[in-house]
Amino acid sequence: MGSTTKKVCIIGDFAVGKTSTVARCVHNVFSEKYLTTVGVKIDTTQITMEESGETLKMVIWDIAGTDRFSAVEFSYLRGASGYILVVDGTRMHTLEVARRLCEEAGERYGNLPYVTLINKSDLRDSWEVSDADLGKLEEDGYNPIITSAKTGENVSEALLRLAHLVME
Amino acid sequence: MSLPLAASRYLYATDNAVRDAICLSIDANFRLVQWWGNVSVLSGVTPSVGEDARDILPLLYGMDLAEPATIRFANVNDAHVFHVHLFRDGDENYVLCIPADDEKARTTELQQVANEVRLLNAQQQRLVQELEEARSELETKRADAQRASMVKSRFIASISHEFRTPLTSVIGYTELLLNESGQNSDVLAHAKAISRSARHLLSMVDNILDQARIEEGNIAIRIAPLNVRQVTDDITTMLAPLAAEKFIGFGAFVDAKVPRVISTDEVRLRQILVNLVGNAIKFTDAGEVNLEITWAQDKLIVVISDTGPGIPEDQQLLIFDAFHRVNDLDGKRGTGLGLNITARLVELLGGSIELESQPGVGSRFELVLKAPESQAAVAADNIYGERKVMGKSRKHAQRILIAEDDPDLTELLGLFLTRGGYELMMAEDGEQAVKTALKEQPDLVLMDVNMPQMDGLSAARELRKKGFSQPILALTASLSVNDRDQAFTWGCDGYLVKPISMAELLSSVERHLHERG
Repeated sequence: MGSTTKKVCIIGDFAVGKTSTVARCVHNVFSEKYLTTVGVKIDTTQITMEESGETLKMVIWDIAGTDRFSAVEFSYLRGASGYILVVDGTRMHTLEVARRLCEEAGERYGNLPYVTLINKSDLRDSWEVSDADLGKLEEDGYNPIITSAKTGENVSEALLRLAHLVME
Repeated sequence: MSLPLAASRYLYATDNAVRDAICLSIDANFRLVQWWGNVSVLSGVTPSVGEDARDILPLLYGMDLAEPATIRFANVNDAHVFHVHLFRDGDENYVLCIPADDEKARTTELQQVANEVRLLNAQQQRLVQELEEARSELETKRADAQRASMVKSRFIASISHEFRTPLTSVIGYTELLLNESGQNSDVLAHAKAISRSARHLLSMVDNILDQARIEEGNIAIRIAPLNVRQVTDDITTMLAPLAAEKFIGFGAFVDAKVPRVISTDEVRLRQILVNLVGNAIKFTDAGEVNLEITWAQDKLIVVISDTGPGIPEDQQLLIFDAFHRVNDLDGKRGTGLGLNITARLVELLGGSIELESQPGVGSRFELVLKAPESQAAVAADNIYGERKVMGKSRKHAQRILIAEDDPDLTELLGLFLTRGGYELMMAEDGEQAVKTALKEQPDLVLMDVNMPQMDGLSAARELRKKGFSQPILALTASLSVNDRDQAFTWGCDGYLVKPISMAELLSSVERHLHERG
């Protein structure tokens, strides 16, 4: 069976859990301690597509999240086959940031496939993102997936969904 | 190995340091052509010429070699961070990796602090917002509860007020029966039972009404000069017969130190005394009840003592709570509001109340009320009217207009006044009262306040405007001080509160006619 390598990026506001999501995907670990990412962290993971048996090697660019996602950093999406958009369910503001990032990615790089993660489902009681907000995201085509990098809920599923999208 | 010239030029042009830099030269297919520096730092092994450079440096996947690129702080493996530069020199492609571990550590430290502060700020904002929401919710709930309480209090006040008019009929007709000569003893006993029950009901209605008013904050205090001895006499006249019925002693004593005229709220003082003395008589089955009044330092000191069953110690603090009743007092029951109202009225009068009690021995309530001496003369008339009927004989049958919309009450008042020897005329509402009074010129008008078409106070005002000069007595179920003040302002000469006994009515009518006479 064939093997393909694709670059994907993970973007979102700071402290939404991008690095933790990658750590869960790649190493299946989680740390409670918040460590900010500076620059970009490159990790690689391999996914075997059940239907075709094909192997997809994903080179994941974990890009530092800031509230001012500058053009220079945005250039890191160049050459990516898709991206993961991460929102922190406990901070409504991160949803607005995610929408802006998605719009800008679309303007710069066209219709890149992406998956939207509403992270921190383990803190659901403290969520500012409401069911109505999730419904609106669904309506707007974001197809949000509720995840928890801490518990691992839906993280592999989200990655697999992205894998299918980039392989289409 | 020194860097290639192209890399050195690039470093010079981009103002970067050369130290420990690694450089890869790759072909158009990312195949490794040559390298400079400790390349094994990148992937952990020493590569071979012709190897895919993307396996050594995965970040090259997706890169377009025609486009120069700079990736700052690229964590290419778990150990090292580089600034990675992809550039062309002629036909050659170069990947230059400049170590940035130290710089990254410094930047991370600053960024970490900045992000943590931003997270804390966001958290703080959220907490503030939650606090404001909680406060706003509480405020709404408090306002709702207050509104509900006001509605409830107004409802109770309205119902209680409505009770007084029919009670006037019940008490009045019973009084007629009791005064009727030739009644057999069974009828008299039944009438007495009706009278007791009706008065008990009236007292409960009054308590509920007061409680509602206090809760609504609608108890007006009216400080005015009053004669304490007169008040004590009235209380004695009212309550001594109740003590006599039970064969217990009753004594009232006013100390010589009490000034002739003091200032306090007469209505509330009477209410407090009737309540405490009435309670003492009610619960005492043997022995005596005493009312002692003295005065010191602008304060009235009132002691009500009894030889009743006493109040257990564990209930002495609770006894002033609303709806609290002392258990097991021979089945004697009330609303449980009397002492609560008394305590709150005492508070409103700027005073205090204390209880000493011993089960099996008796109870002693001591009130201390602000009551400075007054130099003013006390008006003969007050809310309770002057009880002594003047003995002036009438030259002719005097005519009284009864303006009252309740037919039962009209008939009762008619019966009372007929027995007093007066001629009567009737009106069913305010408008009719004005017309009849102006046309017939009665000697006195008994004016119900709450009537259809035109209320009694408006009718009184209208009559005064049109020159009617005979006495007008307002008759009302309301105990409100404001209503009373309004009655006098609008031209009434007296103010009678339902239910009213025949004696009270005749006394008041006689006095007003005499004063005009």
